[in-house]
Amino acid sequence: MGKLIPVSIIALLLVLHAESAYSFQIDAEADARHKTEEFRDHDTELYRASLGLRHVFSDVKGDRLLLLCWLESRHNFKETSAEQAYAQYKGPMGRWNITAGKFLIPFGLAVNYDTEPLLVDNNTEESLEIKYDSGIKVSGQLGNFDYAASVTQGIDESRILDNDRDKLAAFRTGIIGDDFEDFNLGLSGTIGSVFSDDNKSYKKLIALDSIKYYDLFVFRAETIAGKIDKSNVYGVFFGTDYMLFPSFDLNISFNAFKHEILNKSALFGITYNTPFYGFVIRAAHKVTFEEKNNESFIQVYNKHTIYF
Amino acid sequence: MNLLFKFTISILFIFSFISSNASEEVYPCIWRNPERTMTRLFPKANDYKTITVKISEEQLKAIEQKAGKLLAGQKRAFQYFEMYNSDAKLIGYTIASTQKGEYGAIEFVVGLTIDKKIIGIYIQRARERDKEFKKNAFLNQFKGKGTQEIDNLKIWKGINWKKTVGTSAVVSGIVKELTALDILGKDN
Repeated sequence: MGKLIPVSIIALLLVLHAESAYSFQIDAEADARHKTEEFRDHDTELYRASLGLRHVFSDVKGDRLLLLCWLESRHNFKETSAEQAYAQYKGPMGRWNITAGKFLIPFGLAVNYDTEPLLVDNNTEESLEIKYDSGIKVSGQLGNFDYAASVTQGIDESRILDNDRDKLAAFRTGIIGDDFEDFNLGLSGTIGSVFSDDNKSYKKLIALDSIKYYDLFVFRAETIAGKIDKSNVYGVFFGTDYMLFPSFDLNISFNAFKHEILNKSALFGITYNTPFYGFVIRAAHKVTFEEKNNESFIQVYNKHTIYF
Repeated sequence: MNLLFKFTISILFIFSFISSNASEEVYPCIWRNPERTMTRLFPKANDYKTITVKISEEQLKAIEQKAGKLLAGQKRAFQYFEMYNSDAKLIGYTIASTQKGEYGAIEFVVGLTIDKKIIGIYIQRARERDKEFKKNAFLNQFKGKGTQEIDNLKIWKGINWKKTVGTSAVVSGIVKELTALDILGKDN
């Protein structure tokens, strides 16, 4: 059952490719990392490899149906799963869209800032615990506002179907500034149960997220507050990128989340966009304050897109 | 499935290096909030259709001969959007473009009539010190210009503005997108 959904979507995409030659897209990512802990212990692995398949159907009036499947394998191919697999029915000019399947939960900064290919951590793991989930989502764009609301099962990758009636509801609404679309502000909320790592918890969270581009800087911030079971929780994330010189980005971030204890970490890194298509090299040092832990990373990342 | 996945990833990963011999910085275009910008350019649009056209070697040569070298990552496929009104009638085109600025990518969107004349340009995102290319007085100079003016645009004929890395990137991007639309639109 676990492989049925992604295999079905891949098979459907391959069949449909025969009908429509020019809207079939494949994205491939590879992310290799070398980690040093406390300047002593070393580990090198293919941290993440991903394969995305995408196909758009159009009718006489426009794009109508999007099929997407995103497979991911981690830690030298030890853990493989379908991160996303969904069908999206598109309304006119993106005013409304209905998505069914497994998709990104519309909550917080993660909607507009994907940290998966980066060395930066955000607070998704501590707060929501899951990033992708199966269910139904309504989303769209109305002028300067965008919105998304979903009802999903509230389970992690270890399960395909939920065994109880407890679901997870989430929403996010955002506004995009008029200044060259460089400013983005979002308000999110979520309520419901999440089953993750064999533990079930009940969450009531709100989040405020923002992204601002200014000159050679990008600023990103997120604040989360609420309850996980009976405990009050809160978290903050702040990150900035600065173009030191052409092709070189300085990356700084700070993360804090309080659940039972307050965990804080900071990251300082550099990104080099190489001359080769989609090929990026990053280096970073991360300090976890409570555990007094130092980790250094070197990452080699490549992304490639091809069309059939 | 794990073995098939590993094999596919390995082949694509190797393939990406083989196809990237050109030593040139590349910025694949990522269009954020497409419908928002499309609505600004075409307020009467009711919907849009994504058109992705594969570029053959011959077509690539013809485009680069006329418009200059394309960035790696933009040489194999050309994507644009057909805009439709509520009667399902074609009213124009939108193209999202990415060009190399001084520090990073300059992402912008061009709207065109069905006669392929520019009706507007929006700068999506850029992290540059240079502000000249963002000014409306510069961007408005392109309105009304189309595929017939490609040769003039290449030599900045009809554009009265300061030549900076940013403004040159926008002009170069417009020339390349108009050329690609002209050649690939005719052939397809």
